[in-house]
Amino acid sequence: MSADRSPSGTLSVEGVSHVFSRVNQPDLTVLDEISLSIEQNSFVSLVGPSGCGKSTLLRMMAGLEKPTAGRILLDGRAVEGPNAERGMVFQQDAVFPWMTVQKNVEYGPRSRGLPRAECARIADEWIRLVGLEGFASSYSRELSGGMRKRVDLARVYANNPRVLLMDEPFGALDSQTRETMQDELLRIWEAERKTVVFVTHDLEEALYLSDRVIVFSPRPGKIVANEAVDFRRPRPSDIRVSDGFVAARRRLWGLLSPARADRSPS
Amino acid sequence: MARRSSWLPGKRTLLGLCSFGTVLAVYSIVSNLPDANQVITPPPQAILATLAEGVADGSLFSAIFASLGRVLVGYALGCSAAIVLGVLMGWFRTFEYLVDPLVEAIRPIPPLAYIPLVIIWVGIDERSRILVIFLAAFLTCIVSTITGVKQVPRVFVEAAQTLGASQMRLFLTVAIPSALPYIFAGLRVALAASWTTLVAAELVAAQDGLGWLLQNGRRFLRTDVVMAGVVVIGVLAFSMDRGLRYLQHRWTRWADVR
Repeated sequence: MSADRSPSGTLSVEGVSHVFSRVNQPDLTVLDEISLSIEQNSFVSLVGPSGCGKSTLLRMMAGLEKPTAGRILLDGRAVEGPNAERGMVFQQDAVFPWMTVQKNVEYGPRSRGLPRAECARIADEWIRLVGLEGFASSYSRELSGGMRKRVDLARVYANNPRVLLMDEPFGALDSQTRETMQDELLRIWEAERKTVVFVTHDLEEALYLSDRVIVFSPRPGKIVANEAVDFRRPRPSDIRVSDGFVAARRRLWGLLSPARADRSPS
Repeated sequence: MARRSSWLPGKRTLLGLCSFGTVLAVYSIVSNLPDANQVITPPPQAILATLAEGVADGSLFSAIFASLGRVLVGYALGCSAAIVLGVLMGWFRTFEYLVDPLVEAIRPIPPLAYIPLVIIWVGIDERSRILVIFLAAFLTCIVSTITGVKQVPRVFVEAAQTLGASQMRLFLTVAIPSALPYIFAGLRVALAASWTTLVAAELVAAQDGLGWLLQNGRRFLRTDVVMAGVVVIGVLAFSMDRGLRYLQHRWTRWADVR
């Protein structure tokens, strides 16, 4: 399925800053000269306190925001605006409610002008892969929150982007559904490796999913740590309670909030 | 879901008939009291008889035909223009800044206020009545169309953009469907405004139609004719609104409008 596009997907962030200008107030620096390289086919999480600019960085990678300074490159080419190369999964519900699941999943391929039959075939396949068989003709309001996220994943994967950008995609789900969706995402990702940049404020989620966790300081956001996560894949669910995992989580917690490092993680 | 929707209308219809029946019963009793003045308050059976008479000699149909034609043409043209212009204004900031002051300045003026001007410019003929209805439909429909397009959630726009949708595709497959519930609300308000304006326009400037029928009834103190006219207008406007509601239900079912 990934044969029709070069298998690359290397993101480089070069000296990116983001400054909000405000009325009658000093400018607000959200991101301060971030530089960062994300290897192709790797799963990288961005974590940090709220307001540290991690979501803004992700939105700039998508081309939905422009950096105030610096630039972002995908496979050596500057990101200018949103397009099908960089797919995005949002925290909010983004399934088009006026389309069936089938039409939603076909949306990307149809936008790229693929033949109707080809789009239907791709959509069928992805609907099956995310476990939504039998719901192809359902509408968004007939689905649970977890199922809608599956539609989001199928829709973005069906478009075969080079990079997947995920902005706290499971943030609005209850904890049980959230863990199920994390396992689903890993399963899909192991089957078809793509570059994934995943924003979350949940350290456990970041550690469980990622090859690399990048920790941001509070605003103005700077990178305070860029750590490889070496747990062997595929990762069993109960790795979350292993000693190594808990220790890694505690260490990252210390980096995330130096002032509160003496307190135990929640 | 299917069970609920088949149960609800049943209960709704029943309750709706209750309030309607009460009004009819009270009026029926009052108008049939021995000392009631039948010229001022003709009883329901007299109104029915007048309606039957109008049906028999065809005068009712020609009045309906004249009025319905005006409403349909004015309403269809007004709403079409409002949807096209409203969608463009809601979507393109530049276009909105350009046209919005004009629309906002004109909007609070009741369409009836244009009748004298329209008569001076266009004269007392079919075009002037249609023009006034056009204005009424246009000015009410455009407001909710603009709102609808502006209310398109940003996440849908961004999702479509990151899936590779072109501007045109974004407009056709995201902006318009997302605004459809608002557009339908506008269509329904505009329909009511069209009927209001029609009757007023016919009261002052027409030789046929339902408004003219009312005016004639008043002139000869035929209260039964006036009331028959009111009933006919009510039934027509109500049926058209029902038709719209049916379309609204079919096309915006995803939004769960009840």
